[in-house]
Amino acid sequence: MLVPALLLALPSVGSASLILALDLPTMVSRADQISVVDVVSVTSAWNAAHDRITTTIDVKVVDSWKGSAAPTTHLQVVQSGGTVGEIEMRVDGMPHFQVGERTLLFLRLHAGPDHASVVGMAQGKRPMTRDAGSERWMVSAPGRAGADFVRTTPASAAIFTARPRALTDLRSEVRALVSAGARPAAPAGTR
Amino acid sequence: MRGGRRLALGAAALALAWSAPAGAYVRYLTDVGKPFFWAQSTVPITAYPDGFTQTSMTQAQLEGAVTAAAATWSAPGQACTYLTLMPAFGTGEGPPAANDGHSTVLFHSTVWCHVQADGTCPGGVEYDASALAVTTDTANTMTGQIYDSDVEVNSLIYPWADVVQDPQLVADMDLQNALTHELGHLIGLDHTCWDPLTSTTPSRPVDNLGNPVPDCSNPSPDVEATTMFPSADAGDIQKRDLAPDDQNGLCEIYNVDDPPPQPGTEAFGGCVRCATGGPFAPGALAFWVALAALIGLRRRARGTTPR
Repeated sequence: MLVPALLLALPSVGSASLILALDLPTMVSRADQISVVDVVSVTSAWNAAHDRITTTIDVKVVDSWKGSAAPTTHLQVVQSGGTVGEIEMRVDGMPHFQVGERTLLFLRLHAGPDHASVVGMAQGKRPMTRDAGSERWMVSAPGRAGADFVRTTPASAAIFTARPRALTDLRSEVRALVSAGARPAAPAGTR
Repeated sequence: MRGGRRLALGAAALALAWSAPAGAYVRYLTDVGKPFFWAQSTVPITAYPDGFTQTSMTQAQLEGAVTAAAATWSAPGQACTYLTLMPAFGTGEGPPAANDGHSTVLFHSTVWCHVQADGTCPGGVEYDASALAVTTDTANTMTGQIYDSDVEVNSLIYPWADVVQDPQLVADMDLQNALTHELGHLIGLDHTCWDPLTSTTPSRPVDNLGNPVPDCSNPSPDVEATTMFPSADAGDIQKRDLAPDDQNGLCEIYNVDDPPPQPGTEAFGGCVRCATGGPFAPGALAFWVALAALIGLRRRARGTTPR
């Protein structure tokens, strides 16, 4: 019994997941909350059975394009995987967060107070950088986070090869989609 | 003199041809750069078809998909390898996907999340609805030895089918196609192309020949045809069969003539010679031979001799 216990004490994790590539209207439709946020903290912990790791990301809202979370509101993004000590549990397709980064998130709200998950897994986190010349905020294509993406239409895969675009332009497009009546996502699964 | 020039040009051409990426593959690396591998020759994988409640596939088709996907990466069908992925079929919906040393294929048809033993989702949090399958592998960071791999299939939201037997279901995802790709990851293979935004590899990896892995956005037809290419279309069945690149990875990492070393030995770590390229990998060696030949040509043209 001791030997397997020691073997299980050292692992890190690598994986792959199969995810549907979503176009922007679908992302907007499925999100309850679309916000520019600052990442305040990233905390990983074992579950009670000590066989799975869950990560909680505390984010502070900077600007909201959809949903009721006002600026300075804090939301908790909860997702599977993470690193505790020497053990890394990586669920591919889950977005990676760094404390201090500013990013655009497409979020789905859950029953817990201010709890959320990222729509489309890695697709719902869009890295942001400030353009050195114009000093405008730019939004980059999402990371694949090691996942495999299934094309449903040619447009649905284009999100990964899109060039960075100005935050203001994307905000206008998203708000137009919201105004056009993009309904919140129909309940998927058992929500 | 002209004969020597022809000889040098021929050597350069031969070496460059040798470095072409035919048969190239890419391996998963741990955080400290160790390639992932299974230390044993037989990897048991238990699937739990009771969790699959769709009518688009019969039980026989589902078990056939799992069995065929495993056989695609296994001896004796692949004569070059000692590796055998040994599928078995359990009853019920199976244990939670966890780091427990038991590799599983689980089908979730009632809730789509990391289902706990009591059938609920932890904290009420589900996997995203866009995920067709979520895979988690567990390995030792320091050696790369894989301990556990669990594939969770979303049969709650997405229809799965055997598109070959039932071509009218071409709009569905072919289960065998998807599982064959996932089991390629399970044996330690990474994708055959690289996306600069992929967070799991901060810098462009090299394949087994030492060549930079091509961009996913501009792959050659050969790369796009591989089982380990990282995207698929509904109804796709191309990934059911290994491309030469995929087969080369299986055959070199788990070569039948290089059986698995025993735990506790220095060689414990899989085929370390064929890991990730480097200055003396075949492709890199070909580059140096070609470079030397071209430098020799230029020096001869200038009438100089090496010092």
